[in-house]
Amino acid sequence: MTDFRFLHCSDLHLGKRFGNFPEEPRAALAEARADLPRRLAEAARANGAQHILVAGDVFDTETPSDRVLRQALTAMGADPSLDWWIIPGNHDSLAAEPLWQSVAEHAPANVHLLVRPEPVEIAPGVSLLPAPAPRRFPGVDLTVWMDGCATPEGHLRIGLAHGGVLDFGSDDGVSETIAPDRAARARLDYLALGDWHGLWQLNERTRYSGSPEHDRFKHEGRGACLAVTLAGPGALPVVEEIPVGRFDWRQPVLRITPETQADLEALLPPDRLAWKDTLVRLTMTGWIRLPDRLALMEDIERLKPEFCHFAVVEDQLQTDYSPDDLDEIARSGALRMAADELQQAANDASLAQRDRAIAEAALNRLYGFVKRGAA
Amino acid sequence: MKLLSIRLQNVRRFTTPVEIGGIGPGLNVLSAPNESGKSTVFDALHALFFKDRKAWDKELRALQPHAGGDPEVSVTLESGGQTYRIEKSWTKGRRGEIRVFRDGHLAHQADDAEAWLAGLLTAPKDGGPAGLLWVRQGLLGLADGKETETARRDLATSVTGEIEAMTGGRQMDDILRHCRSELDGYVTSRGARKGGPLDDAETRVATLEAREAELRARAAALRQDLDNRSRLRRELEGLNDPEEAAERQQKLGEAEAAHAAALRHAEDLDRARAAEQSARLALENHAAATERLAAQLAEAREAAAHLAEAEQRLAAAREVLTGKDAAWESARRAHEAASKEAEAASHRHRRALKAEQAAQAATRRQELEQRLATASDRRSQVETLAALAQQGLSADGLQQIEALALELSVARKALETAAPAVVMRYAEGRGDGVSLDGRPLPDSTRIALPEGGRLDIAGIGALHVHPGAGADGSSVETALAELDAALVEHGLASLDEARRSARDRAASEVALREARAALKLAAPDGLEALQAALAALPAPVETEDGLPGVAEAEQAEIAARQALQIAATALESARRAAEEVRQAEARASMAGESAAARADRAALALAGKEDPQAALDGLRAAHPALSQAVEDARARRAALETDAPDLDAAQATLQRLTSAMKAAEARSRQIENDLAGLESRIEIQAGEAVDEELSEVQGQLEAARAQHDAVRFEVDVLQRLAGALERARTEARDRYVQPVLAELEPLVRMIWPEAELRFDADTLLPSGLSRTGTEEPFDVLSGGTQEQIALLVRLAFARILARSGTPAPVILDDAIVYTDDDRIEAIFDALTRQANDLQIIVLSCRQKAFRDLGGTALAIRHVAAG
Repeated sequence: MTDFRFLHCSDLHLGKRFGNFPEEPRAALAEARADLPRRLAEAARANGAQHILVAGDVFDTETPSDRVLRQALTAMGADPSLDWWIIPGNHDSLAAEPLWQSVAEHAPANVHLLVRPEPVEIAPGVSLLPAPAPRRFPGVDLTVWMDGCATPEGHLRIGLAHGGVLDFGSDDGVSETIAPDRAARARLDYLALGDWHGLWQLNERTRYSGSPEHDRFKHEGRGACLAVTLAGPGALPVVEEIPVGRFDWRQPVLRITPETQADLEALLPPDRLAWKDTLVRLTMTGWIRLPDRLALMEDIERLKPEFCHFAVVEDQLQTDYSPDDLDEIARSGALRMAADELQQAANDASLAQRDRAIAEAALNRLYGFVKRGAA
Repeated sequence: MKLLSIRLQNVRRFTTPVEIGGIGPGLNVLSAPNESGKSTVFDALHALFFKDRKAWDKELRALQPHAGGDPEVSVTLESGGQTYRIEKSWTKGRRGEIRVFRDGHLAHQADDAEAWLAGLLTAPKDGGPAGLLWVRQGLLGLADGKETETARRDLATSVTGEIEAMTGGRQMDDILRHCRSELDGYVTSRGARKGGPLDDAETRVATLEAREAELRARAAALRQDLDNRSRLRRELEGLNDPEEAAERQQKLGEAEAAHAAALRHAEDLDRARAAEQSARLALENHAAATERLAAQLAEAREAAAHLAEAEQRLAAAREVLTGKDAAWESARRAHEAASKEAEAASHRHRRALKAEQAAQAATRRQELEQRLATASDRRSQVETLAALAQQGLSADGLQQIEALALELSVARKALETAAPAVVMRYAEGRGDGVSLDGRPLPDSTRIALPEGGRLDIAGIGALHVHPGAGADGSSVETALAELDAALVEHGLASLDEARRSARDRAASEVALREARAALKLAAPDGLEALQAALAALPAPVETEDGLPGVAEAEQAEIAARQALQIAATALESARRAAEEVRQAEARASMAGESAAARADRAALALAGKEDPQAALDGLRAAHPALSQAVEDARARRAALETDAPDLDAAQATLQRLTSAMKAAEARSRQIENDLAGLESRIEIQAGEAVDEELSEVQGQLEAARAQHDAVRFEVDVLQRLAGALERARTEARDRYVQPVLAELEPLVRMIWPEAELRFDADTLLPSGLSRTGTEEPFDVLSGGTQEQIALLVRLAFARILARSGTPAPVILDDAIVYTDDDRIEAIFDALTRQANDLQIIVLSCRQKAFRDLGGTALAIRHVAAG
């Protein structure tokens, strides 16, 4: 038997609108997501794979718009030499009857929707065992049936499922999570899983491909899919990570002390041209001197527009006020009294955290007003 | 701090070193024409104290000479009892230097020196101006074209540079204005500003929340519709399944058959129950007839026996009644005899009593007659004694006469006391020899002589004593006359007779009381009562012979009455016995009549039956057959009941299945209708990408909430800052204003003796001048007056600093250019007054005017480099 090579992907979440982002990045993110079928097809061709196995959640919701659905199907059907094998996931479960009716109605011939847990011979000598999600929370391990599923002798057995494996508490089939040793129990050569948006190898025959286009900072970097090669029944799969994501998600942590110079740019991608496709959530921690904070925030404001999105989490960064800082506001008098009061409140552990933060921010603002007035 | 000297090099026109030395502790005056460099000195000094050595700004660049070179300024000063020299320079490359020498030795340099210098200028901790006070013309803000308020603010900035330090001044105003301006963009006093960021954020959150709720509801509705559709489809499939329909039909047929069989069985059972009931009724009727005939026969026999017995009892009763009636008559006669005897005994008893009462009345009459005689005698005696008791002097009369006699005695005694008296005391051995009116005059005895007298002294002669007018005997005469009159009134001759007469009368009164007591004893109620009692006694009667005594007659009467009682009891017993027997006879008679009637009724019941006993025997013989018929009917009914099907259950089953059949048909139609509606709704909802939009809105809502939180935080920060600034400014004002006003008052009076400077409580700016009752707002005052006020305020601050122990030099650079020559002398006085404990350096181009200022004259002198 010749090697069987296929692309394993999942969690395309087509139609996701990123409402929590500002208008500009939102549009860019949605556009990149809509382009995923084309890029996956391109990755398949580039890696010699004729089959693309999608382990659930092709769509972000059970009721995607016609535009999203039809454009996705059109993109998948653009290259008839590629076969798309799709199972419903928890986001687009079989309970979404209109969705799958519409897919069945409009899907091109090379797009195969797998709605029943029964083996399908997707290529000569290759049996695919799909575990479509009947509803959003099925309540059972949908891959149990694979253990007892017979396939022709000498066939490759590939499992395709969507769900978590983190709860390993039950062997009686009641658990909703997929048994981590399902591949071994069901004699699968490879179990392609979806649901987890990051790339994760559970064991040598079981992997999550992650989302090909990341959608949150939880999973850093760019999204990818997996090119899997099976040499024959029983042979270990050879898996290659194929980057397909456009956007690079990063959440660096900038640790600052009053004595160290905050090197912000060292945390950012060196290739400045890539910044436009980079989303950053910068978390700043530690202590910083008041003038340095002002300068750092000015630097950040200067850099922000170069990125697709740049968010700053500064609630863990506290200002270290030196007497000189307060002297710069005023050496004495009412301004100094106000500054002293705010500093005292900012350092008063008996106050609520928010009240302290407000006092600290008010002091920073006073410093800024004074400095701006002096400039 | 006090300045001692100032040295400049490479500062504007002074490219070579110049020095102002010899600056004294009090008032110093550098008076020189324009362009001589006074302001340069001022600016250089200001730079030394306030421009960091690493600075290179517009002001420092302005110090640089045209020819180039780094400005250098050095100052010698005294602070805390030590002498310091500060050398400072600035360079374009921001590499200026600073060194501080203490008593000729390097003490600080670089940043350390800057810090030391800053400390020198820092205001005291308890408030007050910093260590230098500056005033110059340019800072007075009196340039043309400025708005009044701005001019006032500039003026205040000039004169109250330290107020700025304390209250924030213009910088505080700017910051607060910025702060409030930004806040105004967010909120008003009533909440979020309409159309502002906070309002936008709140509106956006609210809008998105509403949108999310709507979409969530629509998504839930869609999901519910999908679920319903699946459920209805499954249900419809089940309803339309042919096998299930056939099964339902078969079950219905079986139920109908079971129901018909149950109905038939129920009818058979009803008939069996009726037959059993009929047999039981026949048996019961037969038994009743048998029992009735047997009873009639027994009654006839018993009635005949009762009749015979009653007749016997009646005859016996009549016989007994005859005997009882005879005994009753005998008893009645005995009772009559006893009654007569009792009446006779009673009569004898009454007569015996009457004889005894007559004897007692005779005894009583005799006694009363004796008491009446005694009483009559005693009453005569009382009448005699009463007449005697009315004679003689009464006790009251005696008391009156005794009182008059006493008055006479007293009068006489008084006369004797008042009259002349003689007392003769004879010489030893001479017991006589003197006589009074012829009688020997006793020794040592006082002899009164109310009428006078004659003393004969043996061998000597006679001595006549005349009473003169001293002794008055009229009282004695009056008393004697009254006593005699009283005695005459009672017919008495003397006091002794009066006393005897009174005694006799008292004895008669005692005897009278005793006689009256004796009369009372004999006739307590008087003689008339005794006479009435005697008259009331019955007249005497003649005694009857042969009468028994009262006790005997009484005993005889009692015995007769007891005999009568016994006879009456016997009579009553006989009567009752006869009555009882009479009633028994009556009852026996009635029983006989009743028995006869009963026998008649029994005979009537059997009338028509020739042989009642034979008839009864026939009835008893027919009973077993009827009992068997009943048992047969009961057995048939019981058998049917045991085998009976449950008709109600069969009917319920049939009803249920019929209903289920109809309901299934109706349900099918209903589901088809519902499905049509659901299909329509699902098609519409699914095409609207509700979930997609919901996901987007949820993301937007999350971002909007974050944005709202950020805006809210920003508002809180601005409000917090504004609050802190306002509190600080208020506190600074409270701490600062009063001391300034106290210092200012004497200075103001030096310039305007009748005036009072007004301050605005909010701005701390001079608000006007009150002169001779006229209020002049500050902005209408002349430039010179404004300038003078500014200067005085500055001097007041300087005094406060001096009193705080950190005296500050006051440097005035052409600060009073608008002040006329007349007023300037008063200003000079004020300066001189303050210069007593302050260092004041006056820079002026008005050489002539300032000639009279006095103080230490300063000059700018070129010195050798190095």
